[in-house]
Amino acid sequence: MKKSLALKSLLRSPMKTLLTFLLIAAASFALFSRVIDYAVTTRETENAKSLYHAVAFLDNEVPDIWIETKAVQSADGWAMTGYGEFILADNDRLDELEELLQNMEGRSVIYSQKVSHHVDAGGLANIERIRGLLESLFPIAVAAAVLIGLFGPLLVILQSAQEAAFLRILGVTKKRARCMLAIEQIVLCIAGIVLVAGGLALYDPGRFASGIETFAVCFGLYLLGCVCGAVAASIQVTRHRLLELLQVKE
Amino acid sequence: MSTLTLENVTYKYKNAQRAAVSEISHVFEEGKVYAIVGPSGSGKSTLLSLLAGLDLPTEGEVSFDGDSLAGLNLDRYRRESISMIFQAFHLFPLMTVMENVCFPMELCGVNPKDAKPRAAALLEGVGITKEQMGRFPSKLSGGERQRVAIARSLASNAKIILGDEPTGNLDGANTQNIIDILCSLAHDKGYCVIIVTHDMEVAEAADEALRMRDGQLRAV
Repeated sequence: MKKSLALKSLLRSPMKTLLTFLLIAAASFALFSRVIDYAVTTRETENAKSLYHAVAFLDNEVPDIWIETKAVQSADGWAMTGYGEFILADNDRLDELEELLQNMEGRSVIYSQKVSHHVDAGGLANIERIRGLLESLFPIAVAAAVLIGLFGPLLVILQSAQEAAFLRILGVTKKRARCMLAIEQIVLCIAGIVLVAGGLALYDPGRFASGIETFAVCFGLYLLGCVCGAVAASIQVTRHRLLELLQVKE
Repeated sequence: MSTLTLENVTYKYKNAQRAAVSEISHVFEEGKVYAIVGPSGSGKSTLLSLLAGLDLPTEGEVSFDGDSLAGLNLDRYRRESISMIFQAFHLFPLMTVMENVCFPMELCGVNPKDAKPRAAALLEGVGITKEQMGRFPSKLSGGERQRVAIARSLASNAKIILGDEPTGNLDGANTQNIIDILCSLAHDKGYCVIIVTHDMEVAEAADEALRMRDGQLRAV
């Protein structure tokens, strides 16, 4: 029973556990969804930078440097011609694209179409603005996640000072008393994170998959904050003068 | 025979002008109830801390069965040799009455299966019914909780029970009930019961009443 005291207390105080759990989960959900947004928007911005509109003679084979998204074929069955829209497969090959488009110009005489390309500047500006906002919120979100991870367990454990004192009176060693208190909070933290990860994955699997690396980093920092908070608080509560904690103040 | 011996025990808190406990010598024996009375700040709680092995004296020696506490593993001493009861009971609220009593036994390495029947016997001994054993402490009255705390204090087989105002939260009838249980434990079963109290009823029922004043212990 002594080993499962921490888990037992989670099960036996459903309201306290549920409230703490929901608080951590809600805060984490809010924070981590911002983190995911940041990661996804960053990627989309990179894609937007690669989005070009071009009027070009499209050869039978789509050049490997772009991913074609739209092409209008000529009605007379000629090789594909007309307005094409595509995403550049690799942004670093922009020079290569420009050279390709220059070469195409000479081959599009049939329809006297001018080969041109441009970056979707309007869309890009919007995304850049959102990205800028998220970029400034990102460190705040991460710091807040770490602080919630740190102070949540800290405050809960500091409120359990009497329980810790009585464990010590019963002869539980300092080390074991600290473990009992800290493990309870760390289990709660991990459970909250699993819930959040599951929630995000169900809510938007694609986005979650895109931002999984950033999520993992934040999860690690959050857990680190929780472990630090739980360990610091459990050390603090076992340092008090035990008898004073257990006496009734009059 | 388990005895707790104080030899010229002095305890001074850091930065304090004077000692909280000053040159106390006394022998606490099995089979007796001791009551320690005195005003607030007289050093009663400090003395209790020293007896419980929560602190070591700055001078002198506290010995259990002839062994100085300074040389003992104090966690083990608290686990196996003494037990404590408090005014606020300090039962674990998330454990049932039965689990509260089993807990100290399991800390001492008793198999949970063996702990249960023993805990049930201890609880019955202090008048807790089978039905109450499955309840949480919050569902019991103050007197019942204190009886559970006493049963828990007996669970570890420690022969010395230290009480810090154990009747402080109880009404007259429950106070008398708790006094009767503690006296019976000392007189019939050979426990050494040391109670710090303001309650003169407890002091009168004790075999030996001691008064703390300015860190000194005197017979009443």
